Amino acid sequence: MKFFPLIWAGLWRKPTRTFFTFLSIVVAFVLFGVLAGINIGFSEIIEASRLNRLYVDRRYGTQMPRSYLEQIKAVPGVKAIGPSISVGGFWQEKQNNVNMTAAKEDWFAVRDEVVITPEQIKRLMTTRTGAIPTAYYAKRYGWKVGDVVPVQSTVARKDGANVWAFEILDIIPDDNNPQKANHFFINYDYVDETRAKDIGTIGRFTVVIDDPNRAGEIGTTIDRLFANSQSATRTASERAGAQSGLQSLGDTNFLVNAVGGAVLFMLLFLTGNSMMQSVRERIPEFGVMKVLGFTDLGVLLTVLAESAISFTAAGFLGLFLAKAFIMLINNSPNPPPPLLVPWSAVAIGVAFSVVAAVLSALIPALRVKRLSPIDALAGK
Amino acid sequence: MTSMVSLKNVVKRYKRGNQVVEVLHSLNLEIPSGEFLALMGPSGSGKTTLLNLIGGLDFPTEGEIPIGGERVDTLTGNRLSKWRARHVGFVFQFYNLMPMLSAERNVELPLLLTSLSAAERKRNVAAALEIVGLSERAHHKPGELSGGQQQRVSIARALVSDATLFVCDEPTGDLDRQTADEILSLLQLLSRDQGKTIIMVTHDPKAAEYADRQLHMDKGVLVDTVIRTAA
Repeated sequence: MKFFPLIWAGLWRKPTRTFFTFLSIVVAFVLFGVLAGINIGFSEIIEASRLNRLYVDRRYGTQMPRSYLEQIKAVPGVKAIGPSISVGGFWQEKQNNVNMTAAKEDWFAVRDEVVITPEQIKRLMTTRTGAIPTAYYAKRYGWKVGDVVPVQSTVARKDGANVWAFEILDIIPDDNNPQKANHFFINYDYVDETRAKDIGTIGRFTVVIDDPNRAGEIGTTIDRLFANSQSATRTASERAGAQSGLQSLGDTNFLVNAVGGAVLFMLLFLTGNSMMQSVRERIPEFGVMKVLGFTDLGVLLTVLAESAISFTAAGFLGLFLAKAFIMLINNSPNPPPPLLVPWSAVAIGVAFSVVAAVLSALIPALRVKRLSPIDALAGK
Repeated sequence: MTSMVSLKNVVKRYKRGNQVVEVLHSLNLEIPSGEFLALMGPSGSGKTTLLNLIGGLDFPTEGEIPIGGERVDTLTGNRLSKWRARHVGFVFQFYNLMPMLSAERNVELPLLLTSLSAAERKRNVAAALEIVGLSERAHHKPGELSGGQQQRVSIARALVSDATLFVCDEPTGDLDRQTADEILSLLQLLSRDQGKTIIMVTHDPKAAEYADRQLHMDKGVLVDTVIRTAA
């Protein structure tokens, strides 16, 4: 600690250069943090997805008939099946999207991560115009139990209207869902009977199987059942679905690592050059330190400490800003898939900043270490 | 009077390309404790080389250099650095202060290498600045001080760790006459009152007059000695 004023003074020898170097490190670590956030967020989605759960979706445009339910249930290895229809819409303003899931009672058994009690399910099944949103929607739109919420939907009603009014029966928590649990559950029968077309069809069957290792085989069996029908199916495990969904954005993992790596590599050059210049200008000062009795190692550590202070402070600030930025994005009205910068990622970033600090300052520090005090005093 | 510094058959050779140049030729010298010695001579005579050897900044090619009973020529690396920190105070022509540090922080530098507490360091720094008459300028940075004041800070830095040997390379070379006289009087005072052994390289005969003894060097050998008689 007693050397801090000396190190600090060396750091601010050229304030403008130090400021811009600091700024470049902050920007690089903001980028590093955001990219790490994307990477970790996507990994979380894949990790959270289950291997023993399959999604049976329509292969082409036609919705699947409800009769598929019994045929899929009969496939060996299928433990449970839950049908549902996804209904898009918005409340009051277009940006206030509401993703509605018209679910049958069985659906909740195959999506056991949804925190809902049997009583709540029963109420939903017995109240045709009832709805149970997650706390996410209730908080975002200020809904309370008992409110009647008109939702403008893309699904038309038999009477020609597009507005569906639902009474909020209850609000369920969404803390345990790593993805934004923006559910709005409605009564399947009510939607199916009231909609203008596609009556008696299902948007998706969610299937739970007994052995995750047989996911591919069971999926193929299901798809074969309906291969020659009007509504052919496409079955994929939840994890495969998540992976292929994310891969449709490109190889995000590779992109994130490549961009992050390139940025940090450039940063090493930039800061290494800056450190080299700074040390070169202060050769006589290091010479004085050696003359006064600072050891070679002591002088080397002084240079490394300068670099470490600037890197870790800027790195921490950059990662903190990235975390704040991502929190801001996640709390926006239409958030993208969840991005995360956990403190563990911040810790990794800070550890990396220390490594980068040492790497960028190593060459100038070694040069200073090897200086003879006489040559250094002469500025050689 | 006991010898503080001894040089016994000291030879220093440098390699310049393929050539070997002998800068000091079998030099013998005794410097008693508490003496103020002026080393004079033309450029290239070997004064600064000799000063560097005595200050533990360089090694002789041959010969022995016992200082305060310790063979400095056999010390290397960290041991030599630590010896310098404990025993030698350096004063340079261009002061060589850290521009970003205040006067008191500059003076404190050698004390960072000791185990003194912050309070003890502060006390010692204040005492050293008091001796050189710069207590009022303790918080000023070198750029805010005159040349003479900067040299006083440099002397305070040499004083603060209670070094017994002061190695001064042209300490007044960058100062006007009046300021130079003040600095030389201060060095004289330190030698007389505090028993510091001071070895000063100078080109200035007037500066050399402040010393107890003047040694003249030429082409790597001592050629003349002048001992000052008390006024």
